Amino acid sequence: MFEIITDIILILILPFLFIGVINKTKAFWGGRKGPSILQSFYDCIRLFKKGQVISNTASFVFCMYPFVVLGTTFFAALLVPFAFSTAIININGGFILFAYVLGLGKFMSLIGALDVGSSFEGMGASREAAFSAMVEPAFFIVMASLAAMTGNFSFGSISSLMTHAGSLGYLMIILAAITFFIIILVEGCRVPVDDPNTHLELTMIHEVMILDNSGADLAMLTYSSALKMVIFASLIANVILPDDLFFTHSLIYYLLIVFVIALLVGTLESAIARLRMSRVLDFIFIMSSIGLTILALVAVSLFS
Amino acid sequence: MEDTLVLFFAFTMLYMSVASRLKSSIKMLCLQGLLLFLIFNQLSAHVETFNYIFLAFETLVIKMLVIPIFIWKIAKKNETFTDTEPSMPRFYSLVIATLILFFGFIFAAISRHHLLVTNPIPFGISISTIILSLFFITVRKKILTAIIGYIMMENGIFLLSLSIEKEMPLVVNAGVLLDLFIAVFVLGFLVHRIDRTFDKDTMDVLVQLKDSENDD
Amino acid sequence: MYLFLIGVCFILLGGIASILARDERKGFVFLLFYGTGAFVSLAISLRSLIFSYRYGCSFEMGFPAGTLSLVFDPLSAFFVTLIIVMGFIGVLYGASYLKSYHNKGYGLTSHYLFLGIFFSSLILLPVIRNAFFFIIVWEFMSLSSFFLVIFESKKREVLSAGINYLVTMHISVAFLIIGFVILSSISGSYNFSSFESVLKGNRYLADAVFVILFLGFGIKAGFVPFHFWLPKAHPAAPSHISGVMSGLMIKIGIYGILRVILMIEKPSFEMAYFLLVISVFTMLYGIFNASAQKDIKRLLAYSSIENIGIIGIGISVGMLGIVYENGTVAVLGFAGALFHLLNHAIFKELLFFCAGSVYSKTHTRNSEKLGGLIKKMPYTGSLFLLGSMSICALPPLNGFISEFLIFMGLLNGLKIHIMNILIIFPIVMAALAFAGTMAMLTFTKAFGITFLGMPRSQEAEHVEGDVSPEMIAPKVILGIMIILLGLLPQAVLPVITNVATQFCTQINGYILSYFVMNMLWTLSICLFGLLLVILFACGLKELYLKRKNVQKYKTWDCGYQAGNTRMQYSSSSYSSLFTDTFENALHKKTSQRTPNGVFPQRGYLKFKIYDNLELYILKPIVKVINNFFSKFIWIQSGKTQIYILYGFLFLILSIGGLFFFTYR
Repeated sequence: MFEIITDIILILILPFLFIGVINKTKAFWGGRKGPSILQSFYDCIRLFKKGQVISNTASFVFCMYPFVVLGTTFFAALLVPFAFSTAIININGGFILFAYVLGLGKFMSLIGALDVGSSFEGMGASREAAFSAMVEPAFFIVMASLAAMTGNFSFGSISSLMTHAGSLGYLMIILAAITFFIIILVEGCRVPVDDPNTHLELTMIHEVMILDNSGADLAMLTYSSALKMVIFASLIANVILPDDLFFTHSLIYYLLIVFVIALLVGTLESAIARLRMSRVLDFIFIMSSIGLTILALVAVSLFS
Repeated sequence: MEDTLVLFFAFTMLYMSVASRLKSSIKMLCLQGLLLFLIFNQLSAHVETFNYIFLAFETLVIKMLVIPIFIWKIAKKNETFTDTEPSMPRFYSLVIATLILFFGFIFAAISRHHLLVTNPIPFGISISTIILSLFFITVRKKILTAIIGYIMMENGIFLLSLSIEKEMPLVVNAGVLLDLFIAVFVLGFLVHRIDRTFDKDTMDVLVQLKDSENDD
Repeated sequence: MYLFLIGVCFILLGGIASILARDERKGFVFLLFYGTGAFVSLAISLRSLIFSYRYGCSFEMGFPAGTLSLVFDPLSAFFVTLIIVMGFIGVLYGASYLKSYHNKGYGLTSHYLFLGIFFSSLILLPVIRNAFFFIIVWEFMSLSSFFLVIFESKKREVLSAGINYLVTMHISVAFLIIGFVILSSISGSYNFSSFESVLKGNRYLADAVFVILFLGFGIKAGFVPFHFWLPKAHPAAPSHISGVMSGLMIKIGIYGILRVILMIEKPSFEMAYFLLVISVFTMLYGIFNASAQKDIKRLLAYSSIENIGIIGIGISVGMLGIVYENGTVAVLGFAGALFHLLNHAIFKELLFFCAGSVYSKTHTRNSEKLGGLIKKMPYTGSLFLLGSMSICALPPLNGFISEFLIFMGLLNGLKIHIMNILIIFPIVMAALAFAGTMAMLTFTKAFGITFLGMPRSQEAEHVEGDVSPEMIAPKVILGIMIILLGLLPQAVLPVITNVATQFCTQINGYILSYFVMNMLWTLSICLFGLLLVILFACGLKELYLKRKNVQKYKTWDCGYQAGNTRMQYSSSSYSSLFTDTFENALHKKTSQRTPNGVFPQRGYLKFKIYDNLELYILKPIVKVINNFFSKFIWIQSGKTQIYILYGFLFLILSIGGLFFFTYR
């Protein structure tokens, strides 16, 4: 019971802190002092106090879609294990439900972007649709391989990997962590996939889809995208940590790993440039290659 | 530990399939040399000192320093820094590289039962490296990239000989001699300025070497 | 059972009776007869489906055919119920859709007549257990569907699409006849039960017959190397016929394949892998081509091909479960396939009917000319959105449940400790996920470009209002079914697992259906939870925005004042980033004239997307056949006297031959 409450508090608070740490890291590498860690929290409060401007072309789809995105991302967060090795809602085949619930959010954001009738959002929607098409197969291959390895079809399989895997286990853990990290970069629209700071034509993918949203809508969308990053960061944390830790140790290690992941994302964003658009698809496909490698390692360790 | 290193080796091959700048391919060659040294350290526990020094010298010095520096010098002289359009779109070559790597692994899994190999993962990856480098030589257009592909094939053969080393320790030394051959070849290219004879440096010009049909 | 036959005859009578009515009354008369007939037959088939009665009757038909037995087993009952219910909704929509074609010389009489023949033969097909009559009724169905497709035969491309369809259907019947003739000559009679006893022992015969009959049924279903008729026939047909064809007629092909699997009780794993490979390829090819289309109905036709691939994957997973004796996998695979069949009938009919409404208002199917329709046609638009969301298998709608079942079948298959399965199943799961995201790209394109944004041309601007309530009502019924089946699949699942366990007779069915029901209960609780969370978020909005001001202004355009509606993204540009990565897989012919010079000029850019397999496989074969047969074109000289000469020669040869061969 206590774990559920802690998890819900983490779901509500961590996304803001995550973005805060990333921005602080970028500022550090840029030699600046940077915004405070709680800045995105203050931003959300400020946005909630404002009104809204809605475009003339928009229909009910546009007014409705931020809530669907918020609802689906929040529900997806309930399906994933956070600080403790079991999720709040732990069902068999959970990762399929998880992937498709996130897909519902993505569908609504794509049509919400097309609703406005401007070519900016259309460009963002077209690119986002193409990139997210490549992410799903990689995620499914990784989860299916882990399920085959551990015999557990829910998200509990990722925590119990070390105990089942034997000699190749740590290798699978590292590769799975790398895959989830690349998914963070894609879903959270960080460099090298997209640049969250600018809206130039070169980098219009995610930020430009929410160009016409204002007020409370914008706050909800920012929170949802940060929550998606935190979800995948907790997946990495759960892959690395074993599942039989004591309660407080588990929480502390989890927060430490999420903090390190935020530092890594910020450092990566300051260190490398955004890839050329045609290269981004190659980069996303490499995730599938890594997934296939995990599958092959599972095959080797199960049949020898 | 050697499984991680071999996996890293496989990923350098994957990176080669996407890279189009010559400098990144050469960096991958250096990285492969370093990895082979570390793998060789892990795999062979009991080797005589002379063998050890010979192989260490070979991997560290020749594979990591000498050959990449030679190739970089040739590249700077010809001023070719990028690979021109390969024969198939880059995305497809990435997909095919992934598939070949995957089948190398599956081959490794099968070989544990039927072929009684001591180390299946280096064995499987070395087979896929050899096939992948042949694929690169076929697909890419510049001669320099073809030479780099050949060197990678040799790295694959070296890895193969390392993985079956317990049975045939002499094969390792034989693999090393292949490398000496390529070093001499590249040196010859550099010294005798053969490159000046050809204006362009794509593989198509090698067609000129063919005998003409109506020769009397 | 005789009651059932009376119901079917009523439907046939409806077609004939509508000849007598005037144009405006035809629809009503047909609907009346169909309704009564359907009610009667539905009572019988529902009783058989829910309570597992096996109704049957048989007629002695004399020399060639032998005994004609009509039996209701769970598989037949499922298909009959599906066809009756979905057909009723289709006819309901059709009656109001055809209102704009009254008294314009379109041949409504023959249309309704053939509609009656089509539905009565379609309903009769799943119960027939005699190969001779099966082929006869199948032919009735194919021919009447041809006449239904060429309803607007005044347009040339409709006629050529119809003839393409007719020829392909006859090739499929040829394969069916070959398969059934082989079986009946070995077993001695035409009954399916005697086929069963022949096929049980003989593995090679079973494989060969499966392949031949799969070719026949597969052409009807639309599996990939034989799918060429689908993208032509569905746009050409009127919308209610497209919906019924895509929702029901394709599924009869799947019924045939399932019946063959049931006859071969223990399939071999070569058959299962064969079906799996073809299904995965069908699915990926179908959705990839769909993402490149701009004609709404052609896009929906290719998406039907994709869904047939998904159903095929479910069937092959079930077959693999039977081969490797894993009951869970078998039941999950078949249950997923059958449920997806039901779901696809529902949402594909909904999508086709919405596309038909759009066409009836704007007279164009080209989505690049439309836009902004959701404000003028809100009901059609929102129902199209519902249909698109469920075809992309998004929770909490019904498409998700069937794909979830297939995924769970694949996951449970990982417990089978064999290397092939371990490698193939995760890759099939990844392919399913990939097709799902490609479907999301396709349907956001179809919905977004057609309905959202600003109108891109005059046709879209001059739409006054939504279609009449009679056209909206069937779509609303389908929409309610989608939502209900998504949230409460447990209602329909006992029936479906009943049908699925019919396939695995060696494995205990009851424990498995209990396990599937358990899983679905947890799933539907989760989906209710999802709905609650979303509604809660909406409620939060209402609370917050009551006091804030909401201002309406034009879309942010970065300061550019002279934009027009053509500057939005079009459907080709939306999917171009994705399809250009795989540029060799799609054959695109571009023609353009770019303006050059200083001042603005006219320019254009035209795309034409060809079906790749059709271009490289079918067209060369057709060209070779044409070249060969054009050498014999002198036989058709056109003069009557030459033809009489041919007849005279034939008479002499046959009488002479008769004398020669009998007087030995």
